[in-house]
Amino acid sequence: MKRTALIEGCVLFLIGVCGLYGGLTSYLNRDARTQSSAMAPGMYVLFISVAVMLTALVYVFLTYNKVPRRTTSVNLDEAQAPWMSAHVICVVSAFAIYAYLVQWIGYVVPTIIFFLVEFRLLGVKSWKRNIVLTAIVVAVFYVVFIKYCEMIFPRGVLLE
Amino acid sequence: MDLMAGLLNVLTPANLLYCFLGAVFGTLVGVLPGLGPASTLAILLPLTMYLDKTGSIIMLAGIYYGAQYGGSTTSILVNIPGEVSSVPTCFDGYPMTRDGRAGQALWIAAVGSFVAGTGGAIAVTAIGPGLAKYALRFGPPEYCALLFFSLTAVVGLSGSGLAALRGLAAGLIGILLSCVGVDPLTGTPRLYFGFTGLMRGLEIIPVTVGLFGVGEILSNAEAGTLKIYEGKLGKMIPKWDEMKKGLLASLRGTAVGLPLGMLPGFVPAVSSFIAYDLEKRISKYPEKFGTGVIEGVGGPEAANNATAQTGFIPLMAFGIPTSASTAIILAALMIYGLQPGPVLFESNRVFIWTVIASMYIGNIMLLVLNLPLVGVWAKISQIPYKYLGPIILGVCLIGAYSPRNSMFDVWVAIIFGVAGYFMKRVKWPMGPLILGFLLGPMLEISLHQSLNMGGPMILFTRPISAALFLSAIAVVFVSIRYLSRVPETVVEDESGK
Repeated sequence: MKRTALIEGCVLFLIGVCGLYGGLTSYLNRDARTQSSAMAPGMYVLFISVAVMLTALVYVFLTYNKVPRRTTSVNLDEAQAPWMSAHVICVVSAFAIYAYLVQWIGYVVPTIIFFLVEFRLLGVKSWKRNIVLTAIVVAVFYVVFIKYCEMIFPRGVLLE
Repeated sequence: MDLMAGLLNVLTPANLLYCFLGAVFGTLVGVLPGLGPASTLAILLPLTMYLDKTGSIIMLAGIYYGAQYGGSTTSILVNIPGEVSSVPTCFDGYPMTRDGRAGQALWIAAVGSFVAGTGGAIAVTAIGPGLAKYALRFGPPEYCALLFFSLTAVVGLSGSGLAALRGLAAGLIGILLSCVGVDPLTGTPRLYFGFTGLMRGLEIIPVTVGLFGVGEILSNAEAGTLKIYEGKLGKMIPKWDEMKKGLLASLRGTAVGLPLGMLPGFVPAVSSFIAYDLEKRISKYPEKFGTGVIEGVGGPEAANNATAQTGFIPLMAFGIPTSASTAIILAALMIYGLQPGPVLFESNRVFIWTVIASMYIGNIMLLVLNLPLVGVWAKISQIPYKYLGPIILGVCLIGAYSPRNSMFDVWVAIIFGVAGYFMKRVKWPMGPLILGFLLGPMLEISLHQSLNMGGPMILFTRPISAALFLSAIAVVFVSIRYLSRVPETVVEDESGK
């Protein structure tokens, strides 16, 4: 539990640091015309970022020193051992590769490959059923989104 | 008169179709465990851009309140709540099923939901426009205080102790993410870290599609098929005595849910637990609760519907969403260039009254869909994720891409999908994040205008803003006290839905 909270706190603190950097950059590079404003550029971001960092510190401090009675902080170490199962990594990787391929070879071919892979990954073991499902879904997507909604997808850098 | 005009407008074939689609989709997501209304709204939001604005808002609203109807079906038949707000329905609904009284439980759940839904629609009709006129008295300090109050209430209702801190952090991250792009006051880019894609800012659609849509699919990737109740539903209409008890409980549930729905953070799950607790406390036989008492089904089901419905009042009158789902509906309104508030009631009179009138029609449609067709929904709830998951992911890609025809937004959705998956795993609420993201820019502008008007003290010297700041403090105390009666996991789960 403490390790999980520490990781959460660190991520949160890091987000705050990024915000702080962005806010400071805006503040230091502010335009002379905005000097009279009640809230200088970057101040709002700075304020929120500091609040994020303080929350992160309090979160970690409370976890390590005094865990409130009714808190149900999730214990990933015990309950859900791996942070991301191999199965979920495969599902999200297939989705990311799909998005990548759409940029390179257009929409239709990657969509066919994506559905074949995802149906298989999520449990459709029969290839015959997989192919039929993919054909139906891709056809429906094509008619609805490309023909009916007239959406313009990337043609693919390689095919242009 | 306005309502009559709205009713006539909603009775056109196109609007009736959108209303029907909203009711069907709402019931569908209600019966499918794991797929919440916020996720569905997020996934369908980009597609509604291709529809007429009135039709799409009618449909999105229908999905939100319709999900509360459908959620009870699987709670009663298989002891697995379709929505977190239907968890209390399991306590007595499933025992009724085991006693061979599934039909009666489903009847009271549907009728109770209808009573509460219609009560909620009446409340929206009666209170919404009046409140909107009151909103005319709101200047920047009052709006700033109202936004602060809303965010505080939502964070306060994320739980207590570390859970509240997680809610606060999520809300702050949401506000920080909303700052990415261009400073609304000076027009200079900020927080883009050298990425030109970030200079355009983060769009609400890829963020919500990622957090709720992709994140939910990843979380449910390994979900198995439910074993649905295969016995007979039994007699549908309860005996007079049972019916009276159930209907009275529904009325009490409605009375609990109506005011709570107007307060930010009081999501339907919270009110259904409070209603269940109330029924148990006032009952002459509290020891029988959990063994199949009809009041234990009628009360919570009515409360969650009433809360869902009255959530539209602050949304329409002030542009303040009370939950993640209403935040997505607000995003839809913004996409159409509609700013909720008093101006909406004046300049888009036909639109707003058509949407309000659609709630009456939608509730009737939901009653019809949920009573005679309950068997169909029970069968649909068996659809395994292996078929739904890839299709929803495919829709997510299109949804993220379509608003700006940008593959950058697709990558944003994927990154937020992974973030949403982790947030679900470690029980970080997503509601405050999305509310922070939506309300952040409004807060920044109103704060800036207030400070320019009279410095920081103006926020505390004007009566309405001072009262709202005090309310923000009070609501945290009150909500923490009430939350002690609601299991924390429920509040956290619902915050993310």
